[in-house]
Formats: sequence, C-alpha cells, structure tokens
Amino acid sequence: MDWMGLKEEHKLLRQDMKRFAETEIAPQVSDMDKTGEPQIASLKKFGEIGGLGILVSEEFEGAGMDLLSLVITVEELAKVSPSFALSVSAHNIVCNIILSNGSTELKKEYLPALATGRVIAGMGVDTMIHPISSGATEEKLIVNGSFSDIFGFVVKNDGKEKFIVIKNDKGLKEEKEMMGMRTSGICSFKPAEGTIKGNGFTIDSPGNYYSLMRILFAAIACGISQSSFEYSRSYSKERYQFERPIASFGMIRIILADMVSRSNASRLLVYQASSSTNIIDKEIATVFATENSLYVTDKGVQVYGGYGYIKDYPLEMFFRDAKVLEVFSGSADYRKVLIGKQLTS
Amino acid sequence: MKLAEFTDKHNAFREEVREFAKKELLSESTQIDRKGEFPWHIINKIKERGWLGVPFPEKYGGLGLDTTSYIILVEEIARVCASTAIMIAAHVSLACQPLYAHGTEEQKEKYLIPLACGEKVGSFGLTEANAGSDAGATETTVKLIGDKWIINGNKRFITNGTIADIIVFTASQDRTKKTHGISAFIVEKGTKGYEAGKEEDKMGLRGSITSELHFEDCELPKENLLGEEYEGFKVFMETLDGGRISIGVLALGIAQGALDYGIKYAQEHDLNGKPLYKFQWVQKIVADAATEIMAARHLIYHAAMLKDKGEKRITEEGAIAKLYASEIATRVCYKLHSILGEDGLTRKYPMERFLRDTKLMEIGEGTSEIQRIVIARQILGK
Ligand SMILES: Cc1cc2nc3c(=O)[nH]c(=O)nc-3n(C[C@H](O)[C@H](O)[C@H](O)COP(=O)(O)OP(=O)(O)OC[C@H]3O[C@@H](n4cnc5c(N)ncnc54)[C@H](O)[C@@H]3O)c2cc1C
Repeated sequence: MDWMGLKEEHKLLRQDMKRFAETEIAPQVSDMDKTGEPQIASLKKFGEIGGLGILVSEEFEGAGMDLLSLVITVEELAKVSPSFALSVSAHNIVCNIILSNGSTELKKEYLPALATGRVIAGMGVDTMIHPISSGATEEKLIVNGSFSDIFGFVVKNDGKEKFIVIKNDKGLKEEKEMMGMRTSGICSFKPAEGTIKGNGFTIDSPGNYYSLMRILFAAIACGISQSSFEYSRSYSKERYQFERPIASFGMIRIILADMVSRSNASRLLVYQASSSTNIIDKEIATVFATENSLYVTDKGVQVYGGYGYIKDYPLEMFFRDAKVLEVFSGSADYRKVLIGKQLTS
Repeated sequence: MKLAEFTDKHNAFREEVREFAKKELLSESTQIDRKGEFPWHIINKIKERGWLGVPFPEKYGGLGLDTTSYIILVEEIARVCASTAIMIAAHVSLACQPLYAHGTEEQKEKYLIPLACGEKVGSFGLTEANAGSDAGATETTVKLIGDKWIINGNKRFITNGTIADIIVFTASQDRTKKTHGISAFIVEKGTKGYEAGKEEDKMGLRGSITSELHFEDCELPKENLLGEEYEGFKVFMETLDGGRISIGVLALGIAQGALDYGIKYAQEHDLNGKPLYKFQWVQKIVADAATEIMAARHLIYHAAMLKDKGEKRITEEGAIAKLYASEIATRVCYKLHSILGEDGLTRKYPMERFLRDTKLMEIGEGTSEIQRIVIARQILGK
C-alpha cells in the first residue's frame, strides 16, 4: 500500500527503521516478551541513530522531522515489537511536550540529552478510562518506568493541567504481570507521591499531548495489524492441509481480505490524521486503528490455528499487545461516545 | 437464566457444582494461570465427587447422569477456571467417550472404569504437526507384526498429554487409503516405545497441559485396537460430534464468567465520579453480552438434550452450537474487558485471563472454519 502524501524522505526513513527493527530488535523479541525484560540496550542504540528525538529540532540535536515521520517510525518498530514502539513513543512524547511548551532553559538542559538517548524518559499513560473503586487514589501507569532516567506525567488541578517531570529513583512498582506490552518497563505510580524534590520540573500547560499520544498508539496499532496480516499471508501459503495450501480455501481468503482492508484503511486514516491539524481526525483514526488491530490480530491467530495459540509463533504476542493498546488509548466504545459528542456539539 | 427443560435434578446438580467452584476454585484460578501448573489438588477434589465420569453408567465407574448434567458441570467449572474445565472435557468426552461407545467389555473394564471413577487420567491423540484440520492425514503408522501392533509417529497439541495414563489415539495402517486406512488404539503410560513429549507454552489455559506424544516402535497387544480395523476415523468423527458441545460449553462458561465479573466491576467502580454501570456504553456492552450468551446457552443445551433424548448423531446441532458459542465468547470477552480500563491489563483481575482462555475455543476440536464446513455439508449436501 502506498499513500500519496508520503514524501521521498518518509520512504527512506521507513527503510531505515525497518532495517533497525529487523536486525536489532527482532532476534530478541520472543524471549523478552516471555521474561518481560526491557530492551534498554536497543533503546540506547536507537537514540544513537536519532530515533529518540524525531520531532526535536536540529538545534537541540534532534532529527527535526515531522509528525508523519514519527508515525512511520513507530509503525515500523511495532511491526517487529509493539512494546519497543511503545517505549519509543513515550520517550518522544516527553520530548515533544518540552519542545512545544517548555522554557528555553528547559529545552537547552534536557532536549539534547533526550534526543540522543543519553537520558531516557518515561511517560504516564492517560487511558481516559480509569475506573476506580470509591475512595481509592488514582494510579498511573508509567511506560519505561522500570528503567528510565526521568519520567513525566500529567496531573489535573482545578481543571488545569500540569506536566510534571521527575527524576526516576527506580523505586516504582513494576507491573510484572502485564498481559501484553511486556518489555516496556511499565510501572504503577501514585501521582500524589510526585513531589519534585529539587530534581524535576513542571510545565504549566502541556498543550495537546493527548492527541500526540493517541496518534502514536494508533501508529503502533497499524504496525501490529500490518505485520499480523503479512505473517498470516505467508503462513497461509506455507501451511498445507488437505494437500493444499490453506491460502487456497475460500474462507481463509476472506479472512485475509478482511485483515488487509482493515489494516490499510487504518493506515490511511492515521497518515491523513497525522498530517491534519484537526483533532477529531486523530480521534477517529485512533479508535478505528486500535479497534481494528483487535480484529486483525484475532483473525491472524485464527489463520495460524493451534499455532496461533502458542508462543513459538508471532501472532500470540500481537494478540495480547493489541489489547493493551486498545485500553491505553481509552477503550473503543468510550471514545466513540466522545467522538459522537464532538460531532454533534 | 432458566431453561424450561432443565429438570429439578439438573438444577440441583448445577447448584452443587457452582457451590464447589465458588468454594474450592474461585480463589485458586488466578494462581493456576499464573503458575502454569496442572492443578492436581483441585482435580483430586473433583475426582472424589465422581465428576470425572458424570455421563457414564455406574457399572463403568460413572455417576450415571445424562449428557446435559455433564455439560452443566463443564459450564460451571469453566465459569471460574477454564484450565480445569478443559482437563475434564478432554478426559470425559475425548478419552472416556470413545471407550464407552466403541470399546469391548474387556476394554471398558480395563480402561473406562479407572478413568470414569477418576483413578486415572485420559487423553485423546488425533492432531499431528501435518494433520490438524485434516486429521485424516495422520502420518503415525501402525503395522501388525505377528500378534503385535507396532506404532511409529508423533502427535502434537494433546490435552492432558504428559499426565495421561490412558491415551486413545489414531494411526494409519495404510496411508494410500487415507481416512479409510486409519484405526484407533489405546496405549498406557509406561508402555515401551511410548512417551509424552514437550509441553506447549500457550496464550491461555495455562494451567492445562498440551503436549506432544511420541511413538517409537511402540508395541501394543492386539486387543488394544479400539473399534474395528480401518474404522478409526469414524470413531473419531463420532467422538468429535459430542466433543464439540463440550468445547462450546467451555466458551459459554468463560463468557458467563466474564459477564459475572463485568457486572460486579461496573457496579463497584466509578468513572469520572459517575458509577460505571450508569453509562450507556457500558450498558450496551453488558446487554449485548447477556443476549449473546443466552442465545449460545440455548444452542448448547438444545444439542445436549437432543443427545439425551436418544439422537444418535448431533453433527449439525453440535457444530452450530460450538461455532456460535466460541465466536461470541471471544467477542464478549473483548468487550467486557474494555470496561475495566487499566485494571484489565494484569492478572490482578481475571478479565484478561478469560480473553486469553477463550480464544482456543475457536480453534480446538475443529476450527470455526471447519465447523462451517461441517454445517454447510449437513445443509447443502456433500
Ligand atoms: C490448547 C490446545 C489443545 C488441544 N487439544 C487437543 C487434543 O486434546 N487432542 C487433539 O487431537 N488435538 C488437540 N488440539 C489440536 C487442535 O484440535 C488443532 O489445533 C485444530 O484442529 C487445528 O489444527 P491446526 O492447528 O493444525 O490448524 P490448521 O489445520 O493448520 O488450520 C490453519 C487454518 O486453516 C484453516 N483451514 C484448514 N483447513 C481448511 C479448509 N478445508 N477450509 C477452510 N479453512 C481451513 C483453519 O480453520 C485455520 O484457520 C489442541 C490444540 C490446542 C491449541
């Protein structure tokens, strides 16, 4: 699938990212998913090649590229490891909040180190839907929390948002039993504990970080869908039953056609939304892409049959990672309610 | 839900199983999934109650109840712990059932009785690396040499594999005859040349065992043939006819478990200061789930009750019930999972386990695609 809006530089970038993902990350994905060990060394390397400051201007040692470039980066990484792509997204979101809303001093102090990966950032995910039992204090999940040097999260006070970044003293509680996204070093954290202690900073209006976060989640979903489709397509040609490749059966062909339609449609929406200034476009693309990645991975498992259910084959991990992503972006039905509301107000 | 056709005995049995599941299993199920170890302590309690042989006559070590009762058992156990439920399902409908339907009196005496009364564990070996949906493509071979069967080959994805004492399996006597060359046999753990192999690392059902079986010049006495020579395929097709509703009811039980949990969760949690259950998007998820689950329950028990009324084959009804129940269960679990937000993401809450467990039901004992082929053949002709 090609899209008119992709420039030559985007295509070249895609090739580079693909190469990095396949050579650097792919060999360890399955083992790390099992142990839940984060891919810290790869993240550092990714920083060295400029992947951790995609949106950061060159003045601060970043790559100075556009949002579509970041989307493509994240998508390519997610094809191999959604969890690694999530780590990269979290880091880049923190960079972007500082870049767009931080003071000149903050930018000078933090951005060069972040953009090159000398300092790794974690980020609190705001799932929008975070039910709590009455009386309980809210906890946030911090992506990269188990290993990052600093982490940021947004708190709301009297309707005003503040972005707080603190030094990570590595004392966060690790969520060792995540169903998916297992190598992103996800930790839980109670924002009430987030005092600054002289080694952090606050940005008063973080701007529209939500919308960036979600479009990157959507980009991960696109990577998951596309990769699930590609794996299923090749598997269906190699796997013989009834003396024929299963790709020769009508029902498998229907599944593959459904998978690729939804995957391509998701990608087009996400590319278009990342080049658009209209926030609702990003909302729509995110719901569509994340919800469809559930469908696509589910059908991918189906194409693999029993082999889709075991950890020796890639679909099992994509199935679990896609579900985490859908929740991270706020549960599809809930977000549809919000979209409907915006469309009619 | 109440089905008009359940008898008082059925309802009482369901109550008994439900009570057991609540008392003995509910607090264990997360740990069973977490450890990924077979829950012997639970199975021992289930065995004491005679529940490993529910639908077989007492003279064969069973409880002498009907198929419907057995299906009730699997539903209520799956509602709490699907790993335990699939162990029971494989043992009863895949190992005991073909012995009951096709075994000689001696075979029933020797194998069915210890299985049905729970002294021994059974399993069923049909699938191979190159014979999944196409189970007739069995590459495991058997030769009659003197008065012994010599078996060679490998099975894959066998539930209860490493823990089974008695295994019913297929092998081909003549591969040129394809499905007509297959016969069914019984092998016991410890037989020379037979060994269970590697266990699979799975998405879900992690407390259940799925393993390979290896046969290397394994010698079996002549009387270990199950059913007639060259009729192994028929034996297995019939077994799967009945087996399908136990996979269907596993899906139903899991979906019901997810709904139970989703309701409780929605009642006890708030979102932005408003009780979750007051949101229409939550009401829609719960109402749709309840509707689909009820429809699935009707299909499953309809098939089970037909069997109890003496229907010999329930091919169409069983396939329809399994297809529908397993597909809605995945959907229902996906949707209910999303009510929990972040709480759905770890083992602290059971919802993500329901989702991981239920996906197998669209694959095991015939994938959804194979069910559609079976149904279409019944309706459209072969
Ligand atoms: C946890 C678990 C427990 C199991 N327990 C047992 C057990 O106890 N005993 C046992 O014998 N087996 C068992 N199985 C095996 C299971 O029954 C098989 O996995 C299943 O039948 C599918 O076979 P396969 O995995 O080889 O997939 P394949 O047959 O390779 O199927 C791959 C895909 O092709 C499709 N397909 C295949 N043929 C056709 C066709 N003609 N038309 C259209 N589509 C087609 C399938 O639907 C599927 O989508 C178990 C499997 C698992 C994962």
